[in-house]
Amino acid sequence: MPGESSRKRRPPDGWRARLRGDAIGMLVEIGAVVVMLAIGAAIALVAAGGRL
Amino acid sequence: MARAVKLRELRITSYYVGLVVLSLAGLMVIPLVVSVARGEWSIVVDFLISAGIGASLGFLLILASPPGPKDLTWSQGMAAAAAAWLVGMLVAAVPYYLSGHWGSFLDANFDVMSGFTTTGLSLAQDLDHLADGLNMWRHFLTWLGGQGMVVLALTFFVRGLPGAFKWYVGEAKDERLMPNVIHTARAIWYVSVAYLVVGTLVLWVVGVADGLSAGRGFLHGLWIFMAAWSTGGFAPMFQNMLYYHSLALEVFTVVFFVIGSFNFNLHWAVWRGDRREIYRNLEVVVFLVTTTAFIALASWELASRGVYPTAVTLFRKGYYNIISAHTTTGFATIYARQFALEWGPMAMLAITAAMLFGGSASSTAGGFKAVRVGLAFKSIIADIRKFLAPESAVTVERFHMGKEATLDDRLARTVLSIIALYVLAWASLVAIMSFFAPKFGWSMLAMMFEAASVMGNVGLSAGVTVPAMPALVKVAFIAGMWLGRLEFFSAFVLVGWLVRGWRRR
Repeated sequence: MPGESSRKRRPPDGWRARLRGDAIGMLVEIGAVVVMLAIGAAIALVAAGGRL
Repeated sequence: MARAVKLRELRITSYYVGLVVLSLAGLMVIPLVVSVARGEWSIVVDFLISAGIGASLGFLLILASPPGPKDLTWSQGMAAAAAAWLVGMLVAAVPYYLSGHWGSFLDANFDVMSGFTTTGLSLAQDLDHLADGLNMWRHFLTWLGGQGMVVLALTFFVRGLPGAFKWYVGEAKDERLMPNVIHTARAIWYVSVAYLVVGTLVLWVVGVADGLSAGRGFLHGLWIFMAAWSTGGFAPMFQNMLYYHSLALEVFTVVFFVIGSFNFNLHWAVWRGDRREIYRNLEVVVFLVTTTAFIALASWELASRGVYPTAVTLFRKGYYNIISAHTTTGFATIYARQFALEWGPMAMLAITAAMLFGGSASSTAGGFKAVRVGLAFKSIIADIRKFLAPESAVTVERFHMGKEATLDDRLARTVLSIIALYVLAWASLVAIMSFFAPKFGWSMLAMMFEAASVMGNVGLSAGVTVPAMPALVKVAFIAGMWLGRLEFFSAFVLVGWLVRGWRRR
């Protein structure tokens, strides 16, 4: 994408902003794994025929 | 003349190995402090002796190096990385051996290599009564190993080291988060320590809520996080995660070990603003697809055979162990023999394949790595497309790993040869075990499972790995864990180097 590389990975200025960015990044990673867990739980539920 | 050159090469390599040994000896102060705090005086003495041996050896190796700049050739860098893991193992095993919880020095070395390589298989005896200092050392070693021995040594440098990058690559890492490799090493630690703080706090609260005392809850939370993040799989109790009977602990550990199996380059990209990388990255996509496939296969069989008939048990006993295998963690919520005795062939094959596939490249995880699985698949697709397209057409396969890239023949060949080496080593381990199978009663599925666990640096066991297993199998497993973690080539260079030196004598 044109201009994409200049947008990517530019660290925010200042240590507080950088720390906030890192914390948001951590939450994004945790959120992605929670989505994976939800998919796994749904598969388990289907395989068990809906029995909890 | 050739002999003088050879000796100089060896002396330069000894400098780099000495740095790792010295770092390990210095870091023994951490379990030492835990032992002092808990009043484990015999373990304090063990660590003092071990640190003394390690420091002496480290200084000797550094003093043996020639004066002046110590730049490395590529083969020296790779040999230095591979040798550092072996010599480091010998030093780190001393406190284990002195404690008496390991039956022999070989068993102690097995556990250290298992920790360094983030495997998690153990030959410790009476694990439930291990001193806290020793448990700290076990989990600390696996946490260090997740980041890498070379990364560990590089972290202590304030200025550049001439051969640093070649040494770093020798440890099967080629990602640079920053232009400078020493800054890259520190960035890796920054991410790991940030997660260590958050993860330990979360698991501490969960442990206390589940009934552990505040002090014990903290130590267990810290150790379990270290093992989860490094996809190591060690636990302070013999029953591993089953000991705690805690759904909350299982959910949180899954989150931490899946994140731990991500590429450090991905962490850095997402943390520093490129959030979309989390769903565009080839390794995340491949991991999601393969995890879903393995879980579907195993769940179908485990539910239809009535092993785990409800969704909750299927999630806690089936899903948890499959994803623990796929991320090469090795945390288990069932007994080792239950894999061999209760899981059917389809579920056993699914978990064995999951262990071989592994997590992401440049992460704490082992196995083929998701990027290679993805590129091998794309390579096959590209070949099929070539056959279907007109003869004059040019087909191009693209992939996204931090940036857009093209799959060329050279890359495809490298990917396929590393996968082939993993499969060959896995089959060799099965063959070695099969000599002893009649005596020990190991089934073919159990041996395939165990060999995948060793080669993928996973740590799940189907009951093969016990202190009574033959010494040859223990040595083969140590070699398998080392080769799997270093992805073969550094170890081959070291062996080739030594053989060449031997022939010249």
